[in-house]
Amino acid sequence: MPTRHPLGDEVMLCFPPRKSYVAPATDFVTCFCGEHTADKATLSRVQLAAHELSENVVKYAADEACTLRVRTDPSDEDDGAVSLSITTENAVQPDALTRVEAYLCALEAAANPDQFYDEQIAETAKRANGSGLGLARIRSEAAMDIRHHSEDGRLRITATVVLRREGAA
Amino acid sequence: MSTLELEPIDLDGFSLAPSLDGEVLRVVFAGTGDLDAVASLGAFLPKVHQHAVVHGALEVQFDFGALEFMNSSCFKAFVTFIDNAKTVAAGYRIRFITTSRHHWQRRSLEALRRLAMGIVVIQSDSSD
Repeated sequence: MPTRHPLGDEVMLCFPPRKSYVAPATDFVTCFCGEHTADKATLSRVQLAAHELSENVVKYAADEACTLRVRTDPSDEDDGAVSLSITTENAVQPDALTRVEAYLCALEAAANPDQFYDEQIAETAKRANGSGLGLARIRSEAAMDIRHHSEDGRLRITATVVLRREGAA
Repeated sequence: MSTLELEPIDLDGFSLAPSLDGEVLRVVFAGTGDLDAVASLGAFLPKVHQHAVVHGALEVQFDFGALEFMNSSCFKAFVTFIDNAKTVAAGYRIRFITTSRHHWQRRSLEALRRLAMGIVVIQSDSSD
């Protein structure tokens, strides 16, 4: 059962970085989101974000302590809407942390997420290793806001989407 | 139907089956393209290009009707395939057959279409 907060629900998973945990973590987030919306297109967007974030944790974690947190909060966008956020946190090697933070800053600052994504796609076509597309994909294809924070070698990435009331404009 | 020396892939949770029908090289996908599928798919798609050229295919079809999800690493394999086809002016069209049952397909494949307009065609499965 989700922890009932005064303003929203929250559940956190803690797991070691194993590939076998990606699918269950993704399914879990999608089911959690399903408590707030039945819209299949929205659920698909959340599923995509959860999968990409979970895979990133598994691929890049520098220690065994990974977390994935999903929570809802009332949104101030319109009456009855909730803001759903998916947050992953894991330790990252220092050199990798510098690279991914630079990438995240560029992604978050991009005025046009689709254009940024298209540019990343064009770049990755010429790159041998790593796609570098997962986070840009979340912002463009899933249309979710991305924010990050790092502290003591640990990187926290949050993807957020507003779930509007069924039938609301 | 001509002979196609291109082996299918059948992993736990992901599979693809190639075939050649006249001038169309078709690959039918099923399952989930995740971390376990990346290496196989990355090795398979360059062979698709080679075989399409050898057999004089005018179209390469990727049937995603039973593909439930594809991660960004698998997505990148298609980016590389399309970019190569565009760069070498391969001479075949690339058609993705999609299903509205899986909402991610329309968004993901639209990004691939933008990568090579005029080469990449997105077709919705008429059985939806």
